[in-house]
Amino acid sequence: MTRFSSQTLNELLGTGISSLDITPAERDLAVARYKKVARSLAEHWDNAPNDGLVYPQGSMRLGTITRNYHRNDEIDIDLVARRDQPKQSISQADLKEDAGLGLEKFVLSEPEGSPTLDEGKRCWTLNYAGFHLDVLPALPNLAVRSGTAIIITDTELVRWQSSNPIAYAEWFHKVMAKEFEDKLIVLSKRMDIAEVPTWQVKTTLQQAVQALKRHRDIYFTETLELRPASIIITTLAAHAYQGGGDLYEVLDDITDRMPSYVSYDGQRYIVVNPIERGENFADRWHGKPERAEAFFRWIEQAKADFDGLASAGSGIDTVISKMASVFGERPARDAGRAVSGGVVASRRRGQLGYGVGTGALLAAPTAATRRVSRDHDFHGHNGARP
Amino acid sequence: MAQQATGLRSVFPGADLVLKAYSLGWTGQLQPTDLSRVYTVRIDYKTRRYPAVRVLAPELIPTAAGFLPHTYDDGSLCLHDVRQWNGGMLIVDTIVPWAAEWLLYYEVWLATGEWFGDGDASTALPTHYEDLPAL
Repeated sequence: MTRFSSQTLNELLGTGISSLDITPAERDLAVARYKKVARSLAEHWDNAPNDGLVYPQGSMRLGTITRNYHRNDEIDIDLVARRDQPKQSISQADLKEDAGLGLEKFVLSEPEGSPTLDEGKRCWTLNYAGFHLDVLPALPNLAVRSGTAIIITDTELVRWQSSNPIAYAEWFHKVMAKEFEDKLIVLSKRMDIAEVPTWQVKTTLQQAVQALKRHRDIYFTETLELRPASIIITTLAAHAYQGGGDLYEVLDDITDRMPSYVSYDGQRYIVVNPIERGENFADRWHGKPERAEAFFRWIEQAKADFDGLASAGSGIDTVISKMASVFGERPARDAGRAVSGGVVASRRRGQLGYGVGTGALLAAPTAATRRVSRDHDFHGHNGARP
Repeated sequence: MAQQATGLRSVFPGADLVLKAYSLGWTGQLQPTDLSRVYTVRIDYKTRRYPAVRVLAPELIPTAAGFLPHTYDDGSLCLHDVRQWNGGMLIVDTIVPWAAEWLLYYEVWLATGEWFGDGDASTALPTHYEDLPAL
């Protein structure tokens, strides 16, 4: 099948995916709230308060937040709460419990947003309306050279688990650095400011990860236990990413190439942690072949769905309806609204044009296009012609 | 009238145009975006009247209740307020691109049930809109 891409398709896809993301207002609120959590925990631990104590990890740090399809489009933000003391001085259970105690104090202090507190396997969750802060208690990993390495607790495992979300995020950002820099420059010029907040830049890799995560969430609705982990999707997508195309091309290409970065050593599937070669992100597939099979089946379906999104002249309604089944109703509607809104805005500015002989609407008329000379409104709502 | 015809011919040389002393009929194809369908559109214009625009093919799809947004009883498209067009304006610079816009918003409406062509809420559909009887 010949792949069809177009500006309109990329606009629809880009705005659809961006409606899965955290909004700037939500982001500001989330940052303000986790800073308060950080101050409260620092007080509890009697540490010198600094921002490094509680910091975002996972999708918040990677710029790949994807609203939770199964929980009303709510947002999960993962935080590390690092207590700076050596592991010999505290047990896993005590670290976890003590963090819980500190967070309970925080909740009882009636902070803004009135969060409630729940305990999970590895982390504590602060529930706010519309979003959740998952707080992962951790200690610095003094056994390795990296200053950002941590060890974390797990109620199901006896040994401390090592992790390094900061180094992982640095790896991820390095993969997409070129596109990131290019887009940052374009955005700075457009916004006419020198310092654009880096989170305002979205690369095609970040958007592809968001699209894949949402597709996964819908695909595994009935079989949540088989759902491939976000870290696996993110890692494989970053390996498969080559950059240099438009969003749809990159998404399609990544989806096509992702499975080839899963290796098999004759006994187990391996998705290597790029910053800790000894760690296998696909550990949980071991002894559960149905999980690996589900992954490969899913990625094939995602590929077919993305391929089938559009063809020339099939109708914008067809594309929006397909987007609704692939990404959900809200992103599809937002995409339709944005594509319409873009044309309305150009017309209001007097910059709408259209292609000679085709009627193709263009936001920026060129010499080869006909300019729309006047603004207008669609006023009539059924009735006789004037 | 001749000016209107010249304008349309210069932009759509392949379209069908019949020019008479006091009227003009134009049938051409419009595709507002590369994803959109190609629509065959007919414009009929008589002196001192507003141009009437109809979509000949593919057939427009109303709701189950027979409703199509921004159309008149006779099936023609509503593209402007009465004050927004007069005979001194070229159809090719107004009615034609407005029809292309209509077709874009129409396809989005088909999928979402919402008309996003008006920009701001003050010109959004009136609330009784949903309850209009079938034609």
